[in-house]
Amino acid sequence: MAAVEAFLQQGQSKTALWRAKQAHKRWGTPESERLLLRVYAVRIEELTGRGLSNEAEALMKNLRERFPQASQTLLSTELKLGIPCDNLGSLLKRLVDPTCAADEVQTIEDTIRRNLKDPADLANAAELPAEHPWKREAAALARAFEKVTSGPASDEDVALPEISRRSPLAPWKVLVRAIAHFYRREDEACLACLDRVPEQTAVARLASALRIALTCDPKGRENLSPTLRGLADRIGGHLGGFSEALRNLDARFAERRAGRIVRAIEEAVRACQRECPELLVRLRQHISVRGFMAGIDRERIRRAMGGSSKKDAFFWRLLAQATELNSGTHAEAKVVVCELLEHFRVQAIREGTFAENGPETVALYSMMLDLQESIPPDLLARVHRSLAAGPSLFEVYYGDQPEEIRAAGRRAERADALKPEKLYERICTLAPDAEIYRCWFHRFRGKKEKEWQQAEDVALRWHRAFPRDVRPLLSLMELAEERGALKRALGWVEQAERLDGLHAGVRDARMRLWTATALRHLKQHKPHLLEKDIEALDALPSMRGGDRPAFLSALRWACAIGTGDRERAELHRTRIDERLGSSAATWLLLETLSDVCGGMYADLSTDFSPALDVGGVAQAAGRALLLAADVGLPVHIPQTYENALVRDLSGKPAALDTAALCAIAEAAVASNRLRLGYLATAHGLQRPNAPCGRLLLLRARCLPPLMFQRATDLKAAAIAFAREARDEKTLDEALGSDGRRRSRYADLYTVTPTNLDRETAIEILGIEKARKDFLDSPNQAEPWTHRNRPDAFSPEFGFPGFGDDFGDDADEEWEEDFEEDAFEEDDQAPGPWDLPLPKGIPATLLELLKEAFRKHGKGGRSPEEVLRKMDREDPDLTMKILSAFLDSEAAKYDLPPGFADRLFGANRPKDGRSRRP
Amino acid sequence: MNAGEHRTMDPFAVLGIGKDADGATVRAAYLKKVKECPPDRDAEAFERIRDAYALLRDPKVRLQRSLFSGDPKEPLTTLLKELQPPRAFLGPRPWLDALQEGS
Repeated sequence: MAAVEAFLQQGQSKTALWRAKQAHKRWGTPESERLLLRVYAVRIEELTGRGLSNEAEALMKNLRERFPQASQTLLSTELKLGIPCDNLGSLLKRLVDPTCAADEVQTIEDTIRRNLKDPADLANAAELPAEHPWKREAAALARAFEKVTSGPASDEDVALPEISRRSPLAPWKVLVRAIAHFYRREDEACLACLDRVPEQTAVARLASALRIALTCDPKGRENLSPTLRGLADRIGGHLGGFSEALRNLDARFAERRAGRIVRAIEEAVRACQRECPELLVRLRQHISVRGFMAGIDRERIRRAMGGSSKKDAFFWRLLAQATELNSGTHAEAKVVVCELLEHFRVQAIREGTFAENGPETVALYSMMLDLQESIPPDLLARVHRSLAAGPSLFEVYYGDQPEEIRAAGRRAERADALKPEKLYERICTLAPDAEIYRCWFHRFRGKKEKEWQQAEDVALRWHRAFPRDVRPLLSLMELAEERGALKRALGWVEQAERLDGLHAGVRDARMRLWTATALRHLKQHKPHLLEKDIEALDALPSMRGGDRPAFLSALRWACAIGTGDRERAELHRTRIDERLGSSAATWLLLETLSDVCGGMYADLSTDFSPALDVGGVAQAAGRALLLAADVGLPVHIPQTYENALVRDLSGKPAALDTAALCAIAEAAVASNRLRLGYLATAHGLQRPNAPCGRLLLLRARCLPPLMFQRATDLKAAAIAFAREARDEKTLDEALGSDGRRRSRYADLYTVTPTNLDRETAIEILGIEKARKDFLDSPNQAEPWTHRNRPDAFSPEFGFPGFGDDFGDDADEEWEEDFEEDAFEEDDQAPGPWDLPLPKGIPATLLELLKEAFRKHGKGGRSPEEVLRKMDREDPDLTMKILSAFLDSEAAKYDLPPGFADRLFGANRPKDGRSRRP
Repeated sequence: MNAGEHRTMDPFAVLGIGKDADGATVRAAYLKKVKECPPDRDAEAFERIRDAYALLRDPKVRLQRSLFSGDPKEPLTTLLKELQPPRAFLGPRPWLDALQEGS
């Protein structure tokens, strides 16, 4: 024994333990047992000190089993070292022991808080005296727990005021309250209680089961032990098998393997019939639509479901949403969505969800309009004709439906009958709306006689519906003026002035009306009528502000030229000079006027040659073009002037304001002077507070056709900036809906360049600012990409008739045998020899196209995708191809050599080698 | 807000109102939410709330949204949410057994 003590003194607990065991084996006396237990305590303490708490706990457990009579001795060690103790009786016995120190009491409290697995154990513990508060609290808790798990419990039942927040029973109290909230379906309160259950306690495990029963979180459920999972399923009414089958079906749909999907459908329907038959109708409808989205044959899905889905309003709405979601930019699909919405409408009316002509009907018609207005009119007309020629798309869906559903389905109009004109008329009849009238009017705005009559009819209806609105009057004025009915036009203006003389459109209406009339008379070479127009214009107070008098002088000049009065013409030209401050500006204004009149005065206007001084041309052009835009004079930039402007803008234009730069860019685009337009946008974008949306849109229009990807991105950014700046004009033009209805709904389900986020738009703007020269591009791949845009032609879009053949019955055997290989991408790039290339294509161009497909055609991309990718990532090659193409075209038409050189300027690649365009 | 967020966002849920809420309810819910999440505290949440209000303030768009809320691509398991299966009272024993067996 002395040796044991000596080893303990030296800190060799392991050897001391071995010696103590030997001694106890030999003598087996109470003294040897006490010594052994003491050495064990030292050993356990040492293990705990080294962080080996699991080993220390295992050793302690072993000791308790071997020396049950020494439990109190061991408990002291446990409490001292903080080792968990499962023996509640021992803990309580120690607790009531008068020698129990304060820190031991705290440890016992913590142990009970962490480990108590049944409050009844504490309530019935013989070790605790009857008056002990814990015993009272535990008894109340046990009663509340039984009550709350056995039936509805009131707030009083779970109040438990005797249990304080510091009590070791506090976690149980929170759990009891959470259970009460759970059964009352007060889910938020239940979750709040569960959040307050401490993690390191036994009750936390019950709390986790309760949380899963509440949230049905599949991942969390997997993490539970089987017993806790069973508890969660039983209390939550969890439909284990059905839920599992649905999860499996979701996973199979994500894999897009028809065979597996069909099997999963069969399984899910069986589970639904077994566990939750009331959900079968909804489930079949969802499966039908999901199967449709995956492109699986309808009949195959029907067989797997053991019957058809019900074709009620819910089904058609779901199908319309799914089709719209998958339609992308596919025009035909968008029109088909309209027909689906119509089926939804008639079925909803049958079910009594909608009134026949209620606001929901108007909302649906508006959505149909939005969808169709996003399609170019010519294409829309073709789609309508194509759909009208074919059989009804959805008649077959009603084949096995009840008679009332079939009858309602027969009332639904076909897509080709739901044309925008009809929809506008119905909406305006059901819920007159000035904005809808405006869009309707612009839809008919055209040059043809028939269109003009329809537009006037709409404007008159608009005026009758909204007699206090000046816009229909102004529209009627424009129509009358275009027909040359001046008196009628003036009549509309007078009405508008009586209604709202301060309206911006009305204020300038007379000026624009007389200007348009004067220009028409000028074109018709009727100087006597022109003089009257000029007098009428001169009488307008609005013609006295800004540079407008210069325009009057220009008209007088034209009138004098027309009557052969050269002297008077010279006088008016001098007045224009004085007003605009330079002969260069005068010349451009007169050239523009001359151009409007079909070049009638071209020889006269060019009688004088203004000095196109370096640095002064841009200033003069800006002023003249701003005036032209102000009075509504269609702008034109002559070739000579373009050269001088390009020269000026290639340097540093002095003090040219943003408005002037915009006017130059607009005029350049209108005159097809694209290099000039590009330069003006480059300078404009550098200005602070520049209208970025407008300038980016103008720049997009300056790009050559092969750069359509860049142009698309520029338009997308222009839309983003125009939205932010509320620039309606740019927005309308960028969306291709000049004056027509702009979709308010289509953005919700389609990802198109119309909803580019601000960060990407700013990124695009930054890059464009750096591209100062025409066709300049950074030597890097585009940082933004639209590769993730949904493609209308992707296999995901499985509309019958124009989807892929995915899911054909004939493929079943193949699928079963080669399922693992299904949907793998073909890595072979299409060779240029697979393309429908025209005959006689120049060898240089063919070689370049081959190179493009070798570099960018991997992964089975279509020719269009290859060109897009090349345009984005390989501007050098794009320029080479463009150049080679233009050279070959120039040769065809005997154009002078260096045609492409002139077009591209210094950036054109020489001898097949690019100079970094 | 980018396209993906725009598509998946349920403005009714963001403002915490029902699908049949009228204009006054929408406005009241918006003001309440803005007070809860001012832009200086949680700019992202504020932006979400503002976007949701921008969508729902127009009665026509609100009606369209309420007609077409929900995503046809959402997991089929969400069907179970509509069910509200009954929550079963089992008495204390299964709870306590689960606790004992798990130890």
